[in-house]
Amino acid sequence: MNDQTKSAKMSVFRVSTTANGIGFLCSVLVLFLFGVNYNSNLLFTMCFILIGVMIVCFWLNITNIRAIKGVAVTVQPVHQGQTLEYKIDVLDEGKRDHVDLLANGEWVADVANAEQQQWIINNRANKRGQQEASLLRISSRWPLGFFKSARNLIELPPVVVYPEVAPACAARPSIEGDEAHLHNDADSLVGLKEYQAGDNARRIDWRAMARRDQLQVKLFDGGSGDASVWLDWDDTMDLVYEQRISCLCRWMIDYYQQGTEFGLRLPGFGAAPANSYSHLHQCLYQLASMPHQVHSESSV
Amino acid sequence: MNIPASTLKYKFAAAGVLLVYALLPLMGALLWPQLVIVVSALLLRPFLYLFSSAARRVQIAATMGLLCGAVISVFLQGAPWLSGENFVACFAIILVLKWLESRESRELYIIIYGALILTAVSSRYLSGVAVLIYLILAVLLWMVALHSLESRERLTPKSGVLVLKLFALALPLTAMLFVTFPRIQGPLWDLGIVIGLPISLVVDQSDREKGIKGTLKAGQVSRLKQDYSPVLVAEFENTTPYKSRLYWRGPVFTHYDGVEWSLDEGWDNRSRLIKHAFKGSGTLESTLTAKSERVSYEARVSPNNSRYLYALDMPVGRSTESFLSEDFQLLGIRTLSAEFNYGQQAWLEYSGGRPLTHEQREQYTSLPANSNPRLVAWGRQLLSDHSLADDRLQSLRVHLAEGGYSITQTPEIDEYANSLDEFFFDRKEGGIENLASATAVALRAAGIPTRLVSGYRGGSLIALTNFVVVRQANAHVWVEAWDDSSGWSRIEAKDYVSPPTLEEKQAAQAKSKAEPKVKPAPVATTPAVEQAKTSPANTSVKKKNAQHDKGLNWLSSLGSGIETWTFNYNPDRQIELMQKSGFTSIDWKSLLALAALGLLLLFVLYGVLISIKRTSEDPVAESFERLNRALLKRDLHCLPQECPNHWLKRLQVLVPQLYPALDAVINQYIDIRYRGTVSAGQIKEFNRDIKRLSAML
Repeated sequence: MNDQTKSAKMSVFRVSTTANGIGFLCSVLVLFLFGVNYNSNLLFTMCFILIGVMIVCFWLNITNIRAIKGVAVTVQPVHQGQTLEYKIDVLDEGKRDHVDLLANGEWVADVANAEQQQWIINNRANKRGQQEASLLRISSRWPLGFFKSARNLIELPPVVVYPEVAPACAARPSIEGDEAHLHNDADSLVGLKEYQAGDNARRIDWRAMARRDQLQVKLFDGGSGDASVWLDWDDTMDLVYEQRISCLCRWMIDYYQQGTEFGLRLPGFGAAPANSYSHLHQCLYQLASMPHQVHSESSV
Repeated sequence: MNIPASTLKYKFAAAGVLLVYALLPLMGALLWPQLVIVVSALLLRPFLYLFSSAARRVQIAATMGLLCGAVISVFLQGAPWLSGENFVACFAIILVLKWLESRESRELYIIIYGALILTAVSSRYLSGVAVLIYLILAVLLWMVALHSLESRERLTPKSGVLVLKLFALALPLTAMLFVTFPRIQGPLWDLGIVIGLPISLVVDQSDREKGIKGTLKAGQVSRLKQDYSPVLVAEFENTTPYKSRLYWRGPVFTHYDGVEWSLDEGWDNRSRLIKHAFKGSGTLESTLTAKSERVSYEARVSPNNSRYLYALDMPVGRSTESFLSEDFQLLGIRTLSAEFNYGQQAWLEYSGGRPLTHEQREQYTSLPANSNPRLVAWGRQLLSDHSLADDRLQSLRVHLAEGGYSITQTPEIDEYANSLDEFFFDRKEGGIENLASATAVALRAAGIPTRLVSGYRGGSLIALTNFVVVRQANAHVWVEAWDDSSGWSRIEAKDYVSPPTLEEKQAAQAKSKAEPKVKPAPVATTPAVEQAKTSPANTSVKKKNAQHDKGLNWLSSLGSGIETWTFNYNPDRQIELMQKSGFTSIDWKSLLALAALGLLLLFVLYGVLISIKRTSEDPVAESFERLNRALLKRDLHCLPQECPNHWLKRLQVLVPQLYPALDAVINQYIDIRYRGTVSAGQIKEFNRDIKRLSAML
């Protein structure tokens, strides 16, 4: 979404008459006909008051959602099946109270005059993968529900939904005997090797690449440590497609929590063993980005 | 959008209160079984809340039981099923039962809108200022109930303030619409005629004989006045004359036997009627000695099993399948057994006619022997006192104006020999027939040839249109007196006895201003009233009025002003007001356009006023700037792009003595700016602290 499109979408403001408003108009018509039939000025007066109230409600309804601004929004990645929690800071710009607001169809806290407020919008993450940016739509029927005005308040940022974590996984990862890094000793260079998928990108020798025009990674002697684990797509061959992803996800989280270095091999992706949060995120992101089942088996 | 369940009972309570309020004026009109059903249902709902277990079953059982009771009560009461009272009672009972059986908040919308309509119906059972107060309170209560339905919270005093604010903001719009929106007068079936619906003037066969025909005696007109069946609908070509000037001419009576008036023998004989009729378009007009205010109209007459077309007095010109009789009536060639249309013209003011033959003069002055002797003697006295016919007429007018007579609408009036004597000298109260007959007898006794004309006067003006609907209720009789120099002219005794009210005069004046082609002040300047104005009696009335005016204080003036411009703000007054405002051409279309334009302007104005963004200055930023300006004097201000945290560290080194105070407010600022949820109280406190600190610096 480019800036122009985004701005155009943000400025969309809609006001519509509700069923309540239509019912109201019908009632006023009936009252008016009573007034005509009985030649009653007082019934006419009643109709005119009601029409006046409706017009005032129209403007108050618009004002209720107009001078309100979404300042910032944050959201943390979650696993499929969990709830995405968008935290949105909003503030009043027009020195007015904003009451009975709905954000994406759910009640949110009122924003008082000149007040800054934080809303929490919960969205259930039903599908793994990259959740695209979307717009938060606020609406209001205040004060008497004759009209419903709605507008986009803020763009909800894109967020990755990690795969669902399998509760338990029968298959076991193959342990290839690679030693885990002892990071403090990994400083003496012993040579170079050709880059392969899964190698640590930070160990790419860029000078060598400039010289030879091919990617090579540096090899350090390092110290010896516990055996690292490779989590391979093929280790889950006995499971159905989505279960394979969930299973790998389970292993990753378990090994991360145990402090064991793990590497990941997926079709077209490999990550060398490590046990950092960013490594976990990278691996979960790659898992989340696996094609969905419709195309998956053929591509895999 | 989920409404919290805890607030549901408050919503039901608000709808219930509105319902009870709408029912209050109606309670007295309900039959006792209906009243029992309504009260039971109203009491049952809170009771069901107390015993919520198995409440649904009880709720359904109670609703069904009460519904059956309502049906039985309607069946047993014996009134027609579709009567107005039945309809209103059923509507009220259904609403209450719906309230009893409702479970969800959305069902309450039906109750709330139903209660609004019930309020309008109930207001018919009140009168005067009570209606105004009742309706205003109803609107306020209705808004509270609706707001409680729409809000997720229970009602608070804030809801009341909001409703009052909405009401106050709606008032200017109300006033504008009240003044400009065209007053279309009902009833609605008349409107159907106006907008061109093919509504025929259906009259039952039995009702066709209702009009005045061969004879006329006391009580006949008064009985007709109880009947609202239509006689004719007229559409005027240009502006509609004021209704009191519309005389729709029917049978003309010559013979009086002391009890009843009758027509000539063979009055319905077509050959005889045509033989004496005015033939040729100009014949009748050529006999007129005075004429003014010509109007053209088209009329649709309902079938009446007679020849009378009830043309407007005095008819001129000709229309198809009709002729003008010697008594100036427009008669059909055939009796009217189906609806009949004709186009006609008329002079509203006239005098004239063919010279009377000796035989006719005898007929028009003849009186029955030994009948109403006192009245006859009084007429004879007039004759002996005044040699000129005009003076005799004037004396009669004065007598009627000062005599303290009043006209009743009582249909049961006894007619017996000498009953006019009793009416004229003793009772002084009777029907229009008594008054007209007494006037005719007195004039005959005074030697003035006189006849009694029956027909209809006025009609229902369909506001802001050129239509007039004439009903049996407009039945009327008046007198025509002969003068040798001017011919027949109308004597409207009713206008001396009960002269037009101030309101009618104003309306007539407004009308006359609205219609430059028509001569001014139709009611106020009818010749009869005009003459009575110059009489001593009128002078004494004026004196009385002047004394009364002196007694008026500002409060009564205000009260009458409110009454005039609210309760009685009718189409004539609306036209008057518009003309005073400078509008020359007023009809319903121009008023509607004016109302729409006013509404649009106010709509935009409200939009501008309500939507104006109030001072958009951020109060927190404003306070921060204030502190910055204060520190600038000491060259300690926050640098552009400097983070408040860094600034604070810098200040700790530069002004350690001020650091604790600065640390407090700058951390407050950081907290407010970057923490998320901040209450208005915190901002207020921050602003206060900055103000104090800046003053110290």
